[in-house]
Amino acid sequence: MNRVVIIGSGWSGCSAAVTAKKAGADVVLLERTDMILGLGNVGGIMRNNGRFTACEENIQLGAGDLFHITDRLSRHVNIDFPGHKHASLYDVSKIEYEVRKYLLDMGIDIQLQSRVVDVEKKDSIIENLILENDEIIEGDVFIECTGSTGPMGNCLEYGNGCCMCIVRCPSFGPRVSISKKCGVDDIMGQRKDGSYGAFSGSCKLDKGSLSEDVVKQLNKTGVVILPVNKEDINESKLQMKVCQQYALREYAENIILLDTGHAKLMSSFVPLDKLRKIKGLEKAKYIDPYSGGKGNSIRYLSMAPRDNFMKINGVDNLFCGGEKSGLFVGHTEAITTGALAGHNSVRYLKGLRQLNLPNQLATGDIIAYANENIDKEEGLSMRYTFAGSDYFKRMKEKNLYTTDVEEIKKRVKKLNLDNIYEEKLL
Amino acid sequence: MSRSFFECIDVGSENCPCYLAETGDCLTCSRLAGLDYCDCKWQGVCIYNEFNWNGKKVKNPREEIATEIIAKKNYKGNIHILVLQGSKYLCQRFKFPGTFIFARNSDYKEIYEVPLSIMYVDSEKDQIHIAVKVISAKTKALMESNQKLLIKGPYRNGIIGLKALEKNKEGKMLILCRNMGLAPAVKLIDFYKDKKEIDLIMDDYRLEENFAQSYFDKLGIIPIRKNFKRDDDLQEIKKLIEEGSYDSTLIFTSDKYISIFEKLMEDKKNIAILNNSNMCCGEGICGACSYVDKNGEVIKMCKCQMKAKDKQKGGI
Repeated sequence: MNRVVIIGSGWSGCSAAVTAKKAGADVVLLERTDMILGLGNVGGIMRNNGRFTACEENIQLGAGDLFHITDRLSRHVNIDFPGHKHASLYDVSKIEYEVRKYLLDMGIDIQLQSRVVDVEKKDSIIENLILENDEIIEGDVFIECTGSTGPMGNCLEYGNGCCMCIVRCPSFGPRVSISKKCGVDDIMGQRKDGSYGAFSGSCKLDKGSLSEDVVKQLNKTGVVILPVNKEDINESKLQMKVCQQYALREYAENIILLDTGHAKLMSSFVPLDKLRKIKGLEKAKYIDPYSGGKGNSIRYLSMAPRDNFMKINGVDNLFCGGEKSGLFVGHTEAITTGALAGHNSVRYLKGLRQLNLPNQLATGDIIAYANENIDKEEGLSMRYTFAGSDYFKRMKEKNLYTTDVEEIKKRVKKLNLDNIYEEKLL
Repeated sequence: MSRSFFECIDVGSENCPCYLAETGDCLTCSRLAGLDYCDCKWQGVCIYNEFNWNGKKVKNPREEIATEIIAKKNYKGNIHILVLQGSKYLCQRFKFPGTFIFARNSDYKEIYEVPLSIMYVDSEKDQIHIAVKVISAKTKALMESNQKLLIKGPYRNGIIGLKALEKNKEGKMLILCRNMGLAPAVKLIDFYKDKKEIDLIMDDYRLEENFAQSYFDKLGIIPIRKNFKRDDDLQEIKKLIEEGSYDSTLIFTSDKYISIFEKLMEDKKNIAILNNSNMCCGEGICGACSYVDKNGEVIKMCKCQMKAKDKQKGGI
């Protein structure tokens, strides 16, 4: 049996499923809710700043599958908004079905409403997973992609309580940290002020509740920037959010809307009465999270210590991807870490040397850099994204950032890594 | 690896969070049990959230309600059926399998509270029927009252292995009951009569008078009468179980006969048994109902729901 079991089907879990399948394993993808993609159902921003480079690197490495879908479903391409260039915005209303279909067509066994609540372990090897309904899931190697958002107790303890986000804890049960169940303590991210966790960085407004002018401009250009009334500007809120690439002055002084099918509001939360003071938003209504006027989901409370092969320390057959694997922000980062975890899980099955993405690639560098910093106290308040903040600065300093696709092809080829994820190992 | 095999019967109910949340002993929420991280398996609205929204206090603590005794029917062997006038609100909450109450005579202190199974709920008249066998101080005190009783409830954990019933909402059910176990059997039959095919095997040989027969008649069930003390009868029951293809079996007897029947049965998956623990406070506080399982974990039986086979395996 060569069975890879992935827990959690957000972008990182889907990405791990794709690369593990390509490498020849039987892949089971377990999902707690009734939809795959998790927070990918409310995201949408791709290819902005250094994410362009990372996206193209993944394509060259042989993990382009999911990027091709997001590219195909983009409502807008090559758009700029404050602090960000050449972004694509995929349609969040269409993405889940398309990705699900793609994975099913690949032969990946997706099991929805299958919440893992515990593990059965022998020494440092996981033998089985146990589902909420006591069903036992056997596997040879496991990949934890459970993310770090919620559950409700965390959103209450470190945020403003449950705001009814896409995670839907009350409907499908809370996220369970599998590494913690294996006896590996979770690492908790911090904010600059030392408090734990961080707010998710954006909300969705119902386009139908916005003025005709705003909707027209959104549909046409993908971006609408509306100035906030002076008395309502609150820069301190920028420190609370996870997406440090959007923690810029412009985001406090303006309401920035992006067209991802819904109107993506680039703030963690804005009280509805303040939002409605802004021209064009007089009738605005939140649709994600439903209580976006009050708060947002809390994240980064459940990272696992790992190596640069994406294997969790202390458990021999447990890998990780996405936010579980560090203070990463964004879909591209999730797909990047998930892809490596999926591929290395099959190398583990085969007894092959694990793949370490080199730091000549942004995708390899971010995985190693995030790991280096997680042991440092200040590292816990940092976030890692190709799209901005410290890491994008580092990308530029190290000359990793480029939008020259041919150059990226050359870099990957020079390292003998072109299409490495396409290689069938089993 | 840290997962307990039990679930709190009150989780997510109108009585959750309970007193155990206040003292940091919640059976479900890790945060309300003194830990600083989330690690629960409850698939519903977060208990910690509910606790905070409720001002960090117990939600809807059960309170005593004075109920009028409408009728008292006496049976030989010092068994009595009391009919109490409830309310629609109470009757709706008392109709579920496993529900019990604490009752006392208002002339006596709270230490005289008696845990009693709800035997039958008359939804049209909003009346509650309970069966009492007078044994000692508490039941004697209770029966002194002819006009009113103070009752408190619902308490929900009268049956262990309730999931075995829920799993098979339709299907074929066998109930094995003896002596006072006839009382909860009546309610179970009433609850499932339109949903399941029910067979009832009853041992009333030790009863001087069968206090439940009129209820069985009313519910249209014809009990198969057996003497659980006789080996021949047990062998016949074994055969009935084997041939009956039941998808759930309920054993409403003393622990002695629960063990006997469990040994008789090959398929022990969908069994539910009477919770014969010593109920005292019903809130998980006093510890009177506790037992220690094979791993040394203290299980509060007034609150903890589990598979019947786990209960039988565990205790010392």
